This record gives sequence, structure tokens and C-alpha cells, in this order.
Amino acid sequence: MSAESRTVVVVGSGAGGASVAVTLAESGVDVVVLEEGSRVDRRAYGGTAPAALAAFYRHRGMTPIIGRAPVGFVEGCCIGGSTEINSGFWHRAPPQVLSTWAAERALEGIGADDLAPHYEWAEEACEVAVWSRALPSSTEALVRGATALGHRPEIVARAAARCVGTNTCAQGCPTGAKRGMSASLLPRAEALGARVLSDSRVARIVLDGRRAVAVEVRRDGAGAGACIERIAAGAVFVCGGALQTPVLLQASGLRRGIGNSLGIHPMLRVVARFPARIDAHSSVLPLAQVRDLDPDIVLGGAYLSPGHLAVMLADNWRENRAWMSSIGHLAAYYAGVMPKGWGSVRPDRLDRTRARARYDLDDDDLARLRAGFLRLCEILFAAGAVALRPCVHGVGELRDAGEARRWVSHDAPVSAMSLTTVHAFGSCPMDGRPGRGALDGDGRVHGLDNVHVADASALPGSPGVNPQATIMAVARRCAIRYVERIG
Amino acid sequence: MTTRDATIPGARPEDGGSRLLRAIVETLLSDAPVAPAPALRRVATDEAAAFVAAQLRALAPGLRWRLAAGLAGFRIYVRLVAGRAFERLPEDARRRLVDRWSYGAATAPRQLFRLLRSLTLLAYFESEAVRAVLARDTSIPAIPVSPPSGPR
Repeated sequence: MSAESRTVVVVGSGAGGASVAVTLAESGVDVVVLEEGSRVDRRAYGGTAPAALAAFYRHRGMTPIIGRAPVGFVEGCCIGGSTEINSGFWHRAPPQVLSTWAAERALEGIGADDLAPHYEWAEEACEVAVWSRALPSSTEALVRGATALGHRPEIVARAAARCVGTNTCAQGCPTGAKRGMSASLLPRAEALGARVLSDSRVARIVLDGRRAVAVEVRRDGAGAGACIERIAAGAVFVCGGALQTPVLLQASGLRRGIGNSLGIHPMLRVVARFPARIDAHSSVLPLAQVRDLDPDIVLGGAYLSPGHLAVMLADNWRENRAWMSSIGHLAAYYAGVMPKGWGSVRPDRLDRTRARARYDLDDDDLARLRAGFLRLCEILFAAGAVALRPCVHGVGELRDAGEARRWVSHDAPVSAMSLTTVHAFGSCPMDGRPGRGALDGDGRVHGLDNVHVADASALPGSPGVNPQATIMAVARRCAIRYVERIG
Repeated sequence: MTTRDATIPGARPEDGGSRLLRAIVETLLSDAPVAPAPALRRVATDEAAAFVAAQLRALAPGLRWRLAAGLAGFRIYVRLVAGRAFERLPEDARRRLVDRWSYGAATAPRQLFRLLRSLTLLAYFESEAVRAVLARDTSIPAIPVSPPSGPR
């Protein structure tokens, strides 16, 4: 530890940063958390989508991933990060995924049994539970259709045990039932002495040989204008997410293995119309998922509000707009795919503080996406849907499974699809082999003694599921190993 | 307002965005299936125009330039085929031109208007006035109070 500072700087306050902060604070480490976004007033939680975009989202949600087709991507930029605006879905990474990571990346202590206590810790902190009341109609529909076709849909646990279904997950949970980091771990870290500073963007990590000695922070204080501060650091944990973490490391002069392996889970959505009211817009989003079709395909439900419905119908608005008046009969679902390829993250050429992310779906990814989408359509028709409207330009109403099959076999170009994702990961992967990946098995940047990464970017590959649980488990593991090392 | 902001479309908050952008938003909403009373519709349209301008300003610089180029192309195209500025055309003519770019075979114009339409519709259908109409007509819950528009 350097003579000048024993403070550990944690960059970012989302799932990874909050897990690191509380773990270190519990061990008596002096911690300061620097969050680029603001501390959003609780009264602003649960507002309209436009207000939420301004308050919670990085660059107001205008952060597409560029490629053969732009993929809409959003992430949080506020105290609590993306945990404030996600759905709270909770999955442990499948054991076979973890064993593959361990084998291919020479990682120790990352198997299902190794991570189990960390998952349990995170699940307790986030009050993870399965919905225990009557299933919402939009969930029932997916379960009904999937079961009819021989699948075994699962009701996914969420970090929202006391959810009352306000249907505002994407705008911040107004009741606090969803245990985002601002409601769960960060207050605990602050109670243990950690300082959590908002409006503080770390522009650069100052290195001296193999060690970080400080971070340069741009602080946007209310009414005081922006100022640059240098904060001395005994160690740095970078937890800015899969896009911002590589940009910060690159801005700090680090290159090797950084930003070359971005992974995403692209999704194609569809709006389904049912003969009876389903009221998806006024209940929690569909809680069921179908995962037994293919290990790399997931079918599930999407968030629906009047504004989001209009966006999903916008590809073919002339034909689709009349559906707005039937919102009570509509629900939204998606087919997602776990691609095999990798994208990249670099600083934007014209604004070096922003990430420029690129991802190109290859033909195999597209084939699996189409296969998943077709099965989703078949499931929804089996559930009683009378018509579907996919988010694909030029594809009108699908009235039966045969029409869906004809569209899929027609091979609509990817440029016609409105793809979205909320999962990005793997841009600074851990790899136990010297000279491979960006980080060692403890999450330390290769070649440095005290710079760590503990967020989605550190994951060695796709977790195959919503990554929040694995981010928290791996981050806690990295923080514990740090504490063990410094004694 | 910084110099950089002034180079992008919709950069003048005093009029809710550039006149072209405002006219496009009005055109995109001219066939909206849910419409409140005229005064409230105007408020919803104003909110949508301001929202679209703010969202476009939040794009990365390279994407903003591409957007500006696309809108400049649209402006020139309209001049060539209609002989007048888009803002001075009657509503039917505006809608035909917007539809031609929105639903044509060329990918870039379609993606430009996909973006503008998505932002416009998101703001419009999330506005209190429109949600009130939806609530009346479809029993969806209206927003009970106006939440603060931003942090703090």
C-alpha cells in the first residue's frame, strides 16, 4: 500500500461497484465510491419514460451499439447504475457456463460451488424471490402457450420480493420493492463509513509504474460548475459497466485485451394481441421465460407502457397505429439470442469520454434469432393470440403460425429488424493465463498491482442469462480476495 | 448553449428545436390514433418536439453529424420535389413525403425516420394529456401526479 493513501476508489455504483464497496467497508477498508450520474430523488422514481430517460439513463438512453444493424442499448447512469432501471430478473449463471469459463480461461475458484456463497449473499441483500401471487395475465399467456407446445417455462426470480406491479421498472421502482443498489447495498456501505459521491466522473487513473496512485475526477457540483479533482488512491476498482470501463482504462493508457471482446444479448420483440383483456400495461412485465428450446435462445416478456408500445409499433406505424386503442388486449414478448461473436468498445473519436461500441451479428446468430422468434410466435398463437406485430420493417400482421414460418423462411434482412439489448458484458475479460484477456483471475488488470475491474466487463463470456447476479457474485469474490491479499 | 450544440438540428430550446424538426414531429403526430382536445394536443406536441430535440442532442457527435446530414438531405429532397420548404407545405403533402422516406426501400432514410418517429411517439404517448385519453378509452391507469422532470 502506498504511503500516501489507503483509500480504495470504486468507480461506479451499480451492481459491481456497490458489491465491492460494501464488501470492502465490512472489512474496515476506507472506501470512496465515485458515480458519474446523479442521486435521483425518490419522488422522481416511477415517473414517465421521458422524465426517466433524463434522470436515470446514460446520455438519455441514446447509446446505440453500431453494426450491420444498430442495436438499441441503454444503461443506467445514476446512483445505483442500471439496477435502478432494470427489471430485477435474477439468474445464477448455469454451472456449465461457469465450468466452461474456468476451463477456457484458466480461472480458479469460479465454479458453481465456489460462487454459491457469493450468490447467496447477493440474493439475501437484494431480497430475491419468485412471484408468489396469482400470475399476471401476460405471464399466464406465455406459460400456457409454451406448455401446450411441450416446453417447460420457468417463472424467474426477481430482486423484488415485495413487488406490487406498478409496471414502472424501467423508470425506477417508486415503492422501493425492487432492490436496486440505491435501496439495498449502497445505504449499507454508507452506514459502514463508505463515501458515495454522485456527479463525479473519473476521467483517468493516474499510474506510477505498476501502481495506481490517484484518479482524476470531474465533479459537476450543483451551481458550482465543473471542477477537476485528483483523489489519491491505494487501489482502484473500476465498475463502470461493459462500455464505460474499457473507455476509462484506455484513457488511462491501458490497452492490452481491453475493449476487444464485447458481448451482448440481442432481442427481437413482438406485440401480441389477445381476444380478452390482458392488461399487460398495468401489471408487472411477463415473468416467465422459455429456455429449453436451445441453450443459446431465450424467450420472455417485454416491458409495456403506452409510449413503449408505440415505439414497438413504429416500424410499420401506418398499419400498426390502430392497435394503440386496444392496449388493454396487447402484451409484448421477445426472442433473445446469446451470440458467439464479439464486438469492440473504443473511445468515441469526437468525444473521448463516450464509448463507441460496435457489434456485428453473424449469420449463425441471425439464424438462431429467427428460429427463436418463430418458436415465440408459435407459442403465442398456441396461447390464444389472434395476431402478432413484429418489430421488423415491412412485416405486417402475422395471423397464424404459418405466416410466421413464411416470414422466417423469407430471411428478412437484419437491417429491417429493430433489435435491442440491455445486456452487455465481457469487454475486459478475466483470464488466468498470463498475457491473455485483460484481467487476471482476481480481476486485476494484467501488469498492474492495484487496479481491478469488477463489473459486467470482467465476465469472461456470456453468462447466458441476466448478468446482475453473476456480476455481484464475481465482484464480491474479487473484493474478498483483495482484502485477503492486503491482510 | 454551447457552440457545439448549435451545430446540430433541434439546437434551439427557445423554439423547441429547429423549425424543420418541429414540422416533422407535427407531421408524425398528425395521424396519431389517440388525440386529446386541441389545446392539450398542442401541449403534447410541444412536449414531444422538445423531447426529440433533447434526445438528439444526447447522441454521440458522429451520430449527430450523420443525423444532421440526413435531415439536410431531406430538406434538399423536399425542395426539389415540392419546390418549397417542408414547413410551408400542407399537411397531406408533408405526410406523403415523410411516408416516402419512412417506408421506402432505402435503409438510411428509413432508419432516420424510424428514430424520429420512435422518439416522437414515445413522448406523445407518455404525455399526461394522451394518457388521460387512453385511460378514459381503454381503462389504463392515468398518471396520478406529475413527477419531477429530472434528478433532485
